[in-house]
Amino acid sequence: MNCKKVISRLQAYVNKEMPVELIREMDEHLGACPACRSQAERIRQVGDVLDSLAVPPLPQGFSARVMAEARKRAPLAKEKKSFFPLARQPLQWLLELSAPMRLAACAMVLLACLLGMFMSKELSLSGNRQTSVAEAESLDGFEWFSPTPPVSLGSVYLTYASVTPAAGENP
Amino acid sequence: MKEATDEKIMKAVGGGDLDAFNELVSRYQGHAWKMAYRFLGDSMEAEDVAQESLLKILEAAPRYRATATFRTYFYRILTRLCIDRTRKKRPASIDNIPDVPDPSLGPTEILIENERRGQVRTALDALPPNQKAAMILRHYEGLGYAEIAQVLGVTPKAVERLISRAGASLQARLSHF
Repeated sequence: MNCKKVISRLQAYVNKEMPVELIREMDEHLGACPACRSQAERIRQVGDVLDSLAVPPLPQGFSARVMAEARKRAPLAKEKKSFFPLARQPLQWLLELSAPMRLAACAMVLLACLLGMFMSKELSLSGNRQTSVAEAESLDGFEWFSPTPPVSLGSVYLTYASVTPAAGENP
Repeated sequence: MKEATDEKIMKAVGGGDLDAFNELVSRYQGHAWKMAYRFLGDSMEAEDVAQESLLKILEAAPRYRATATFRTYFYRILTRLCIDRTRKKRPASIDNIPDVPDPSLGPTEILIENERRGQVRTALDALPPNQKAAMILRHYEGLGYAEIAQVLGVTPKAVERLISRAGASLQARLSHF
């Protein structure tokens, strides 16, 4: 390792921000090179000088002021959230899922769309688009689509009306 | 709540829990204040930025996703606010530096110490904002190069260059100490 390379990485060396092998190489060079060693020492001294920059204590009541401001702002945020629950984050639920779950959810939606397309195609190719009421009624359970289902008031009336009155009997 | 991770607490804050936010404030207010003060060199500005950084976290909490550690997220917000504030305001005057005298020092020593602090302040303020941020995050806040890279949105190699340049500049200005 030459001096130029060592000097360029000296700050990272002092900060111990390099791989162990490189630190070993730097140690070897610094052990044999007084000029680079004194440069490393100067970097350390700057660090010590920086430490002299004192910071005053946290202002009194700082957290109380932060919390007071937070309480002022928080109700507004809640109101917005409840008024437009979906407009704010329409796909929030999707974002909160893990990557495989997100992929599975997308696949399910895609599958549902394809199935829907396939089924609608089947229907459109089935010939007569209008299924008659009679056809519908002939299917099991579809008599409920009739205007007079079996136990309805209309059905009872029709049954009563269709019975021919006996001779001499007043309707 | 005291043992919960920052990320879990942040999740609770996102759900509107102000007690959880209070816990985050108590954990991070010291860092926010010290970093803002070292960056800006003015108590009023530092308090304003430190407060704003915590409130920004509250506002962003519903959208927060733990892609990085909360600490990195916090420093990213704080650093951006500090850099924005320096761009808007003139550099802090050394007259604003408060005396925090060491009680064991005599009057002459206090004067020398204040002079020294003033020169450190001037040397820090002379750095470009990114170099200053990288140096403060590394030296005072103890972040590694990789984490500083995430905070500043650059590569670890770029952080090494920033800190190296900042170190050379500080050395040139503070070499007489």
